[in-house]
Amino acid sequence: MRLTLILALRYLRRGCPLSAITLAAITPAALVLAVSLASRLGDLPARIQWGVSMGLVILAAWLGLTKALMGTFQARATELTSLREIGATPAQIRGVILMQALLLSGSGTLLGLLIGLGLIALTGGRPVPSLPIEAAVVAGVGLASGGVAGLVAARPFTHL
Amino acid sequence: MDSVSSGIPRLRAERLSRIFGQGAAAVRALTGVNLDIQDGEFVAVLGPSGAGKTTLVRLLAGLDTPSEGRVLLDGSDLGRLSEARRARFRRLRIGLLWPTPHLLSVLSVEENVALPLLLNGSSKAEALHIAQGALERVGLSAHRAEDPAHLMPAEAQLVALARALAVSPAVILADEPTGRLDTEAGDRLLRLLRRARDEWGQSVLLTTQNIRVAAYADRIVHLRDGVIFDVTPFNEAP
Repeated sequence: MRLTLILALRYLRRGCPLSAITLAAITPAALVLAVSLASRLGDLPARIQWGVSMGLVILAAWLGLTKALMGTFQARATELTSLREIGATPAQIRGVILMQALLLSGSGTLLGLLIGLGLIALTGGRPVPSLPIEAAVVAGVGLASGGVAGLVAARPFTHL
Repeated sequence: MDSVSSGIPRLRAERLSRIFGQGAAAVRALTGVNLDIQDGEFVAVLGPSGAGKTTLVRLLAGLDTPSEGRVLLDGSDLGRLSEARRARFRRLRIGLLWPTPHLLSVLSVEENVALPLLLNGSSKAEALHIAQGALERVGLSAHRAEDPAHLMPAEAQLVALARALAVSPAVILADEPTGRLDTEAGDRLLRLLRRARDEWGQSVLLTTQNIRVAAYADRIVHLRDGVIFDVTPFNEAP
């Protein structure tokens, strides 16, 4: 675990893909906006339409994040292959990749929460998350989306 | 298992074949290769580019799966192990060298050498202590804190050898390790491989296109178009 974290941090220090952080920020920001602004919409169809729109934004952001992570790890393919050659198990290689994905999506989630709350504050809506549990849910969704994207991006390197 | 006392070859390839692709596009990279490497033996596989040397090394290291046949290391069939067990087996029993050193750019020289031990759960202090010893063997202890990117190609290849030696593997598999080195640096590496065989107890399999490099071995196996067609005993190093 410690070795995985050290390797992940060193790789991110060597080159932190801002595109991945930006894309990871979209999901929590969209969630905050979706929940906060939905209460202003009057009828149910309008709320559903709003929810679907935000869902599509989140899906597009997740696909973009997965692609960005795949590009990042592809650029490090030779070194990830080296790990396998010296006896890293598939789980250890997946761990290094997943840790990087979680660190990136964690940074993105924090950024997304701040952006979402900032936009709500500007438009005068009820700030969501207003409770710790809501913030935890939004952060959890952001991290989970980054984690799943990381697992998808890790797949080519653990099935060589 | 002690392969000497049990009479089992250290490494055995049995009817090893590898076919890439399917149908009309299928390419046969290796065909029915039988090869034994005894404990403490230094074997060179000599063949031109495209002969199947890298495919053979990848199969022997458990990095690829044969289309037919099997690989036995100290009697254990690599094909019967799970991917995770095969990885652990490779980590502790096989040292690998490639034409380029395959070092991790985010780690220092000594951390690269220590990495297989760290992956195996050794403490950092213990792993670095062993790494320091391995670097001393190849004459690079003064470079231990350096960034691998700052090393000369020959030095980087010696670091890769130190990494391979750090776990005291049963076998070192070296795929054209001198291919990108000048003669002097190549000879230095080859002498260290001989020392690995003579003093540190490793069996060595080396692939090369160069007869002068192959002459460092006890036995030369000639490979062409994926088939072994001759074996030459060769006991005198140049």
